Amino acid sequence: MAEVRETHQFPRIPLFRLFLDDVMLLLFLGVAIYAVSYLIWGIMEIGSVPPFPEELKQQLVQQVAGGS
Amino acid sequence: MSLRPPAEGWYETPIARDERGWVAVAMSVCLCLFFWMIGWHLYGQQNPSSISYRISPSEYMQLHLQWVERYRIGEENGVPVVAPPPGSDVLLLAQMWRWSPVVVLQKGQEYTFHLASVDLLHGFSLQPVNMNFMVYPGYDYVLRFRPREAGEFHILCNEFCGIGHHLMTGKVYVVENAAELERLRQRFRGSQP
Amino acid sequence: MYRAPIFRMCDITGLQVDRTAERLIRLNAVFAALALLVAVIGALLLVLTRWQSVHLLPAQWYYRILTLHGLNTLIFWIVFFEVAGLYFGSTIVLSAPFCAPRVGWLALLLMVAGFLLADVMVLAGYADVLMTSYVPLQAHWLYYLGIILFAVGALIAVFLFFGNLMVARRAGTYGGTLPLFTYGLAAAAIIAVITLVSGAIIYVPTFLWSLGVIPRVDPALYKLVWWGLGHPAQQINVSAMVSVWYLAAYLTTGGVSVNERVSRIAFVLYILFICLASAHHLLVDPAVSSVWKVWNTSYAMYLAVLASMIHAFAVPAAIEAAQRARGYTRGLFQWLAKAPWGNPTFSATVLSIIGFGFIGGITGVIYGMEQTNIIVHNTLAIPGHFKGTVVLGTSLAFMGITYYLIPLVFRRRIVGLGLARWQPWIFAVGVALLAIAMVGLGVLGVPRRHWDVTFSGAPFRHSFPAIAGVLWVIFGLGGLLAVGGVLLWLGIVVLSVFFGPRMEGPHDMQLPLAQPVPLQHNPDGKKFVAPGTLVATLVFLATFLVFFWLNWKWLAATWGVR
Repeated sequence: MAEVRETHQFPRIPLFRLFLDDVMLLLFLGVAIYAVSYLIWGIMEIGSVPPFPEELKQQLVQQVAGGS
Repeated sequence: MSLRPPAEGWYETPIARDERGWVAVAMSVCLCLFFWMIGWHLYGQQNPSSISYRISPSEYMQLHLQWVERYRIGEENGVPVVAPPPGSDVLLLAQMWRWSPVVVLQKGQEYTFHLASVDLLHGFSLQPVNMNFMVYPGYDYVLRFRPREAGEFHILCNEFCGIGHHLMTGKVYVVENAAELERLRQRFRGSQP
Repeated sequence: MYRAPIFRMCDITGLQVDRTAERLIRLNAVFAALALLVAVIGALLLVLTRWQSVHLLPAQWYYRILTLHGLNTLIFWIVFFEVAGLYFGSTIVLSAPFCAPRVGWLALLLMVAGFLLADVMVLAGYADVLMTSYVPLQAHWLYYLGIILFAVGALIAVFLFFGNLMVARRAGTYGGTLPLFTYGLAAAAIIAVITLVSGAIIYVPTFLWSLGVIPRVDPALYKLVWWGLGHPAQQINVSAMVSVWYLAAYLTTGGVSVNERVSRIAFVLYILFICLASAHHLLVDPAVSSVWKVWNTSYAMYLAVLASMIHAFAVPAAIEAAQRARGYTRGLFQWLAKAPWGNPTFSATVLSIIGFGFIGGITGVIYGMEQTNIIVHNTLAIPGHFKGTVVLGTSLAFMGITYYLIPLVFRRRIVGLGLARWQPWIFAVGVALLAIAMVGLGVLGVPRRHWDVTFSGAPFRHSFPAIAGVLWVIFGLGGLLAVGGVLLWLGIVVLSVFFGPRMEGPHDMQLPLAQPVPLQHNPDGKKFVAPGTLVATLVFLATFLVFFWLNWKWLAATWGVR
């Protein structure tokens, strides 16, 4: 019976409202989304820039050889 | 209430008609903007490329010099003038405080520009067309340009690169056709010592 | 050792004021004003240099002062003021104590040391690298140390804000739900964590590189992470500014958000997505792909822009609803005509909203699209854009709210209230002219951060269209007017804070505290709460679409590039 009364005294707060009130959770999510989407993805793209292709170098040098 | 906790029932307050309408309109505009950018990649003529290569400044300098020698047709104000064949590569070099070389292009043809710096960051700013791209040391940014009109154009530097930043200008000629290119070639040959 | 906080009860608002918090707020605000003074002297010199008919400074001093100006406006003035705001929102507003006073003093000490060190190094000529200091440009290691000290101090201050919130929550000084003003500041504080951590990630290796400990810093990596500091730093401003708008609407008209849930969701959208827009600075750069660019530059499908558009409705709607409840119901705009225009905080807030939206917001969204960025990147249009956001938006909002902070926090009467009524107008008109001229010049291709756009001595001289001459005159006059507006504000603030008559009680309040008005009953949300605001926001949208169409037309006229 006591339990029942308790649920009466504290009406259930909707989850989304709890989410809006939870500053620490928002801090975590804000940092996480930025870190993954901007920072880590960006660093991965920079890290995966390929070297200047050898064929293109050859082609440019051949153009030079052909002309001289 | 902005200075005090909101009044009881704030969470359940229904959204007024005008605010609901505005949010709906705003959200549709936002989605349109996002898909517009993707659509322009599919149907538009101006899109920054996703092609870049890693290359050391010294190696880029070497390739650049070889390429300039190959297609050089003369010199203007101490800067070599280069006329590469349509459809070929252009190895533009940014250095404190010059753009090398002066490039001669043909209208309507596509050229594969390579933009790279050998020292600091520079800003490639093509005027008066007003197209702007970043130039990095250690990276080659590959952009395929197709000039739309004939005439004389300037390249400015619009990323701060030291005290001589404002002196860093270059030039691009766009000729109407092969015949005009030949006339330009003669002109520069005439000016050669 | 724990010392119990000493409170005074505010005889005007009834709030409990922790004396230590109050002292820290005052000192942070004083350093904010000092940084603004340095910044505005710089602004004057810069306007008089770029205005080619005066061309005051030599090249080296132009870039030196430009470095100084950027740092002091975009970092020092704003962050000092925001720390003052964070302490205010987390202690006084909540009637709560300051959680760790000694750490608060430490944070202030670090920030002041960093501020002075960085400024001295710049003025001594050891850091002519502009605010962005793109590697491989290198400054003296003491300059980087100054920035790091300031950032560490600011980060500590931000964590003190969270500490204050926790203490207040545990002590039950507010329910489970923060006041909207403090909620917006919490959003700003979260963005500040992102900003300052990014700053640490990039400045520490750069500092070590300047000492020769590590051989090089990759320029692409530097620019990516640096903008994780540089751009979100301005998003802290956006969030803090919007909070100040809500606060000012409440203080001057008694207006409260017409729907707290919607306003809070908008702040959450800022927290989650606004920092992705750091990608605005890498749209025409090598090394990152278009997929990364489009996703990040759009704040994940423009969800942060949606948030700004929500606030753009919600803040004026709060004012309109309050005014209508007071009986100003005739037509669409009687509520606005009968608003307290004589109150400088009110006029500053309205001008800040209009300037931020119409100048800063429209240009920001369009210039931040991947392709249109091609025609504006690094041109004067970009500083024109952020004159609209940070100067006309944030700075004016902060200046406006100061007219309430002087009596409530500094406990002094405002000296020269008559002039203060003019100040927001002088400043807003000046900055608006300056920003519009800069956007126009940028559209013509004039570069930013450039000492001589006549290119004298260069191998090829470019000349811009003749209309640029007219725009430079507007630029110069607008700039001088804006500088005048700041100096007037600084004069009023310094005279009031240090020499103004002390507040003796509520009867000394020169600006009224508006009484909150109960909102109209709107059970199913079927009624319109703010028809005038709706019309105004639709006008804004139409202006946006016109500018959108123009820019894409200009882009389509350029050369093909892929």
